[in-house]
Amino acid sequence: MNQNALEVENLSVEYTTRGGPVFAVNNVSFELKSGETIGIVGESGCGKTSLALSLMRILPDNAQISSGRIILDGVDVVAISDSEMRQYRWTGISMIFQAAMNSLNPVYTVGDQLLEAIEAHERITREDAFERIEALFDLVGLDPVLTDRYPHELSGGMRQRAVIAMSLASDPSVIVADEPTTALDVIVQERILRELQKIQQQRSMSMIYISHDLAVIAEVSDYIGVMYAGRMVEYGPANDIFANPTHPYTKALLDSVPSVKGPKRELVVLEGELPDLMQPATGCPFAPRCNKKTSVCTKSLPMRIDLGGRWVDCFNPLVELAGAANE
Amino acid sequence: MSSQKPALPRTLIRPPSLRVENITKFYPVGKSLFGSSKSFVHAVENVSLEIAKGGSFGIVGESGCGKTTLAKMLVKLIEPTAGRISVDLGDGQFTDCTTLGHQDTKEFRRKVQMIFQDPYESLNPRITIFDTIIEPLKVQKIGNLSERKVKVTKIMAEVGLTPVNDLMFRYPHELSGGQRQRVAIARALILDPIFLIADEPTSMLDVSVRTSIMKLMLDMRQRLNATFIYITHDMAVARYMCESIAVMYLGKIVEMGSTEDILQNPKHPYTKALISAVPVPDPTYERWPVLIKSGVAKPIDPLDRCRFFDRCLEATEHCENFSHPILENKAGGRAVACYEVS
Repeated sequence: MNQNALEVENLSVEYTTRGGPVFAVNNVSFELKSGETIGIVGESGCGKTSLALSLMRILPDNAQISSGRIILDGVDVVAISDSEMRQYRWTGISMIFQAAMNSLNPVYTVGDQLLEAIEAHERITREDAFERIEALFDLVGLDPVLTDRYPHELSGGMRQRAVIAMSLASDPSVIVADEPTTALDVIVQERILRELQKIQQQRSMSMIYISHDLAVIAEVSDYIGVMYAGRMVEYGPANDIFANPTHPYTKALLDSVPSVKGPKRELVVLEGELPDLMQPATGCPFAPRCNKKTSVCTKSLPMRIDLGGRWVDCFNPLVELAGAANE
Repeated sequence: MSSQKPALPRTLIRPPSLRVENITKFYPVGKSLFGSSKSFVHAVENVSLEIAKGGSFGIVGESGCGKTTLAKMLVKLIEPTAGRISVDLGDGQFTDCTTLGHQDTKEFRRKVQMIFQDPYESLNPRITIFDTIIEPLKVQKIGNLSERKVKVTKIMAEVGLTPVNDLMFRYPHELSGGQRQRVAIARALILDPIFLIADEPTSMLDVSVRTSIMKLMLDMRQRLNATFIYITHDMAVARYMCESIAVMYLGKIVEMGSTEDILQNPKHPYTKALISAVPVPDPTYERWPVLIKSGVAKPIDPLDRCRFFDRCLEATEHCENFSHPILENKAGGRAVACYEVS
């Protein structure tokens, strides 16, 4: 019924470092229907922010998209030139950054910064632009009077709302939210998540929500992609992933998260350290920490197993596979 | 110390080992040319409580509520503006630790240790792990070199810094975040403290590492029989780490009691809002609305009424016209600071 707002196919991002190339994003594929949210979850260094930056094509100088396609509204934005990409940024795809303090310029009022973002992409009169800015402020739950304020005059939650308003300024079809509430207190976080979901429904916008916090991911996501060491290792509908994780890493992550609700269950520790991306081992990157490891896991990369609407990259997934189980 | 004084708010199962009476910390803002100030940030105001011996007590609240200021006063890193803190340092006597002399302060420092939030900043980057962990023993002049070495090796193994011989002579930058926090824990535990205060020790760590540090601290608590005070903004972490908690809002404790009790049945309107706002790692969970007015809490010269008044949906005229309610022991071993809770 819905068409895909975004398709990512075999995307890899390579950083050139003194120690050699590092693949921060490795062969990642997923698709996103319009109006839906995919939550990308993983620990620090798993490549989730690099994925976000590559979707916007704002990777740092020493990084580049080494292969793959990003299809936004039918156009492969990896293949187009920088000046063409500029037209898609903010209007086709926009981003909410992690630290609202750092993504606002301290010497301009927040209203002027929104104005700049709008005028850079559209021919529009000042009056119309200001009208839109006030409507945007209203939309994210900020008093339109605050457009005249400087960032330091706003609280953390208000700044994050202003940044959200800015990302919505040119009515994008896809929004990339990189840990937008991580620095905020829970009550403010709850408000902003509600607000984002409301706006998303009103505009049937798609969202890529990136976080290390499984509880927040559970709140916002329709689909979930779990990343480990640059690879997406499991993908599927949020309810299924939380109810029946099939990748041992996903299971370990879920078992290590404390919750205020439900019975107080024993937390399980995931032993071991994150792998060094400089020296990728042959085989599954999770194998050294995995409790389901068999000899094949350290020899080659696991193949993708399609589980009907969801998939997992694992030799020994936590499911009964018809036919394949006795292999 | 008269016997007519009302009982301090407490959540005691065992006798107290720490007693805080009317402790207050004001920070001046906008000093004039001669250093006088008319406005003050009321970081912590009139907080009284008792903490049980050998327990684990949590101080929970949002950023700016004064939880770190309170903790730093408990370990004498900040002098309170007013009030008394007395500690039972193991001899059954309560010593007022706001008026200690030099020698007593040193003794106090041996028995009260702190673990800080950021393991990237709380370790000296220029000295090895071995030197970091042995330093408290040198300062306190405990044992000779070989005894100290034995102690360091033992504690490193206990906190999971293995292989000990390999990690001992590394520098902090050669360790991961989780390992660094283990070093900080080892450094705090090597003096066998009676009090251990941890200020958000897991908030800088990754999900999987966080659980292992939480487990380590729970493990250590059982082994040491020390009193743990755990500061966190995360209710879910507090549930696992603390037997009882105090919820703070703008420099005041608004509710105090057993952690599981408070989570299941919060009484204060702020605690209710705080708990219902915590995200739940279950996509099928139907959440309750968060009942709180939006707005920013102002800690500078607050009006003399309930601190939560401006954001409270249950506030009455009484709340507007009277001072901040006192934290009182209510039914079921719970202390609540609210006129509307009976």
